[in-house]
Amino acid sequence: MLLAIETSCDETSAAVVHEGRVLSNVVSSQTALHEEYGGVVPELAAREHLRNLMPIVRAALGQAAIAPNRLEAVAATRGPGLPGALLVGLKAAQALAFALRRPWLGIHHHEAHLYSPWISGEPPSAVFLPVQPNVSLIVSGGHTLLARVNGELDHELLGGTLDDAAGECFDKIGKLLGLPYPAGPQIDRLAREGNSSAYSFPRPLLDDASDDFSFSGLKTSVRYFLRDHPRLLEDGQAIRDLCASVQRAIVEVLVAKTVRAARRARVSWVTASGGVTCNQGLRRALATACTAEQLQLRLAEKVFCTDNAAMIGILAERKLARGQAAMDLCADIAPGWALSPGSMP
Amino acid sequence: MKILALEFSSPQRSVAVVDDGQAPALAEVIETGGRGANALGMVEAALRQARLEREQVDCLAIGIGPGSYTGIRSIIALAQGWQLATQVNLLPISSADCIAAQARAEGLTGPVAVVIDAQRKELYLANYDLLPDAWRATEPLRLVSLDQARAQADAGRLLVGPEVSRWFPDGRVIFPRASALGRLAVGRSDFLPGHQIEPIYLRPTTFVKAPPPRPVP
Repeated sequence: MLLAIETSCDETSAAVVHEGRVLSNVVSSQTALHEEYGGVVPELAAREHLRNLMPIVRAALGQAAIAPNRLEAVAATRGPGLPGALLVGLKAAQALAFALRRPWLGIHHHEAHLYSPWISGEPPSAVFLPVQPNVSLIVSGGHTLLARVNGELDHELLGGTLDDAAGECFDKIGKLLGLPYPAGPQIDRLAREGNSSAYSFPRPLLDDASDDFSFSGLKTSVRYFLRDHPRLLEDGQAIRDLCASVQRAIVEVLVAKTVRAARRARVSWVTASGGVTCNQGLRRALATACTAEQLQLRLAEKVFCTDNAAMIGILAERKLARGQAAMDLCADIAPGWALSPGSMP
Repeated sequence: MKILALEFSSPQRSVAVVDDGQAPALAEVIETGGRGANALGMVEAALRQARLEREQVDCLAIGIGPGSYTGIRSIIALAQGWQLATQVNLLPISSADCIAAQARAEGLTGPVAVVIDAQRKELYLANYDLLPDAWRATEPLRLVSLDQARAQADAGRLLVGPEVSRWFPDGRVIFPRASALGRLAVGRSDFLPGHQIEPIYLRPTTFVKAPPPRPVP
């Protein structure tokens, strides 16, 4: 029985997992708090985690009907993420483990995302054993990266964004359009009523041989387009067309580079997770492309796309089962921790 | 009652064990530099010195600043995790009070102003009278300019604090010490649940707000 805590950005989450089953997964989102600022304010996120953490952990323990002293291990996200946010979850988890005399593990947030597409069912369970070699797309407001997963706890980073993450690009373009934060879901909704061929925007690094991404140029292109076409913002259909066109540009890059990486890596599975994976356009396009390429696809369920402690717990439990030793209770947060194998903070 | 005191609000962090039946701290561990990641290592060392097991701790006294948010939040989170495990009592205490108590413990008497760095060329300041056998707060914590703090010195108050010499060479450097914090906790029972404990925030937040969303026609 393992308790996991996730506080890497603006969601406070706690989960209890046992032998690959998610007994509880409680998430408190701070989106409403940050909405008026148009993005996550790190200082406010840290304050909110401090207020929310204990009720969320108690709720997770309560839903799992577990008393704290029945926990066998504790895990928390160690990085990457916002320093002040990571600190709250990590220190609380370490102290809980210390007070109970239980092992503690610090988990890489992205490594956990590699396994979140394999959590499904009711109650949710990890179904990734044996792990199928796959190429995994992790795409969110803070990160966009591709990794090759060779097997359980064995992965390599293929590429990542050189500047803005895809979700960040959605949010910044949404801000240009006057949409509320977070803009990704708004753009996704408006895009369904728009013509994705109406406007042409660049597909950055689409033809680049690397597995890297770059979205800041696309955002700038939209900014200049709106500067040159200011009346567009008064036309509801034009806004919908713009959203559809922007979304298509972002999705095409994400999908094409993911499929190409899978082909080159000679794997037959593709997985995707991270908050942007909730985007309907992306989910459809990945499904279509994978079918065409005869690749099997696993998309994280929406609750496991966004930040959640269940995936932290699932990975921590696997690591302990595979013999990883408990970590030093004085291990510090690792805000810039890279996903590359062997990369330690 | 066995009290474990944690004071991480200044560049000098400390952990102490205090027994409410005994005047001096049973143990105190002090560290300077770094980010304060070693909090539980310091706790273990202090408990070992005091010959106590972690299960024997009845109360965690926590210095809640003002001061380094990173340090303060790390020990509040630590206290929250501990309370989730064991229902231990938590007692938040002002780090300014702790500095005043430490100043008196170091033999200072008379009127003092505790000053703590508030960034942006401002200071947190609170006034105390230090008596031979006690201390009392005379004006509560507030945010002041450097000139306002200087006026306190001009009026005859000794300025004390962990970094006071950065601005006032005549000030007396006094760190908030966990041993002093622990003694402040003796006899108190105004415990709080962990989720109600937060650093002392005196400066209103001034984050830039986004323009209101534009309705899509």
